[in-house]
Amino acid sequence: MKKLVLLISVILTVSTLLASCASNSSSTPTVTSSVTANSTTTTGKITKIVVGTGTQFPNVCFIDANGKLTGYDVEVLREIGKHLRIDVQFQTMDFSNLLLSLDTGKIDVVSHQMEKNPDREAKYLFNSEPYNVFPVKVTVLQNNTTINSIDDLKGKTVIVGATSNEQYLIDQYNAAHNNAIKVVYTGNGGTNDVITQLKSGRVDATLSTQFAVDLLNQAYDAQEKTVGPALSNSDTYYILRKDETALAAVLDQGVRALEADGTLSKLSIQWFGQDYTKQITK
Amino acid sequence: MAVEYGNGVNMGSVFDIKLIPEYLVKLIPAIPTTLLILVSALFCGTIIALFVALVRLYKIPVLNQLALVYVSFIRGVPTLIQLFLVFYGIPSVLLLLNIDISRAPALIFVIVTYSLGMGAFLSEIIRTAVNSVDRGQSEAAYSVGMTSREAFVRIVFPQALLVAMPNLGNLVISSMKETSLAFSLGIFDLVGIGKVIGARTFHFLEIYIDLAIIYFVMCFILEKVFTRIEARLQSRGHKPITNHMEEKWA
Repeated sequence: MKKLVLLISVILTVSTLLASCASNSSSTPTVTSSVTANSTTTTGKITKIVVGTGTQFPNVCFIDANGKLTGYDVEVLREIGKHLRIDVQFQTMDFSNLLLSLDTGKIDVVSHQMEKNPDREAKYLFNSEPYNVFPVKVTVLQNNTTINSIDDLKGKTVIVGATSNEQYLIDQYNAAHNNAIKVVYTGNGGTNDVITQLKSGRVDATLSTQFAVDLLNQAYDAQEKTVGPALSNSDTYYILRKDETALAAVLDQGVRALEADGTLSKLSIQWFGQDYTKQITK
Repeated sequence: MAVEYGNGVNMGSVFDIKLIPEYLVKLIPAIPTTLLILVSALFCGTIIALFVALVRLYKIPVLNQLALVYVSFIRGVPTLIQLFLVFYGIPSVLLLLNIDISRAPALIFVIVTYSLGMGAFLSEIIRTAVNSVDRGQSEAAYSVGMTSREAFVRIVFPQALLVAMPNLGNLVISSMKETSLAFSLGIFDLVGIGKVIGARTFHFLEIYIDLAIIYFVMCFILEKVFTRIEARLQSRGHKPITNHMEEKWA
């Protein structure tokens, strides 16, 4: 009898906890709005932003031999901060946690070569000045002659990062073509997973962009090539919470300033080997 | 063989045994972070565990049931999920009360998670250890006129400690290894620094070998320390009279 009472009380407590969790998730909009109330927009002049980025994308956002966070995305924002006298701080995390951290107010801006897609635009705000271009193409090993476009991927396995734009592109294709492409996701190893899985033949292709492929071939002997037309000729933007329009305007101002004085081109050459900013479509 | 590319990117992806000592040196500065998480969690966890164990031992109504839920929750949810729940969940809940802690350092959330984990498992270790001491021991203590407090501190606790020691050692060692998940929240502990070097150099295998060496050595040392403590307690617990005599003759 005693045990039964105990059991029932435990079940009741658990269900109460679960119920309170459920009510929390349904009240997410309140959470988000109060987050924003505490962050940069209401303070009038923006003096400090916290940027979320990763550490696993060499030359975009990574930690160099001296232990310093650097790369194209990081340095562009540092220059913007210098120009506009804003204190830019970085929080590094796994790529798949970036948008969640933006939701929960851990960070104000996501900078990780982010492209627009309708799913993201429904939920987040993008600034309007792109700072780089990221034409995504099907990427295979150099000795592969059978795969020349996304249509050749039917029945093959493709590796992409979870929550990435590449995942979105594959999902869109699969939705229209009866799930023809098998998708696997990169694990903790990030880009390393892609290279080893491609080389070992566990996956047939990935989606990537030319500068990333060049870098991986040159630095890590990845033996990759891009094939076929660009699946999306996307410019890359900063992602913000929906109501951070003031912050978006500030970032636009910064990007324009860097474009005007040539800093953006200089950083592109420094990190990607050539000036990709000229290909930005706008 | 290391050819610089761009800003400090090493070239080549062939396994290079010479990199193992090179990266080992670079990983060592991350050891304090790992130890900080472990020691803080052990400290806060002990406080939580003592409280929870008391609640469970004395079967305090309501609190006892809550303690049961807490312990089975921690036991049943993977540490990685707990990390995310604490890191993203607790700030969102507190925000409803208008307390904004979402910008607090990630390390705090990591320590909270591991403290809660340690607290749950440790409370069970304490509870079972105390329960394992025969009731006759307390009764004997009372019969020679000890108060209940004296009986616990002088008779029950030393025996319980002996029972708890092997489990405590296991818990500390497994917790040390579990701290390797803290990287997911962006903590630069051993694994975090390892990933960072890996992303730059792509010599992941060499780094994983280094990490295996470092974790093994640290756990080996802990193991030896706990074996020592256990042996000490055992000699004191089982042969008190001989020990006293040795002391007199020494």
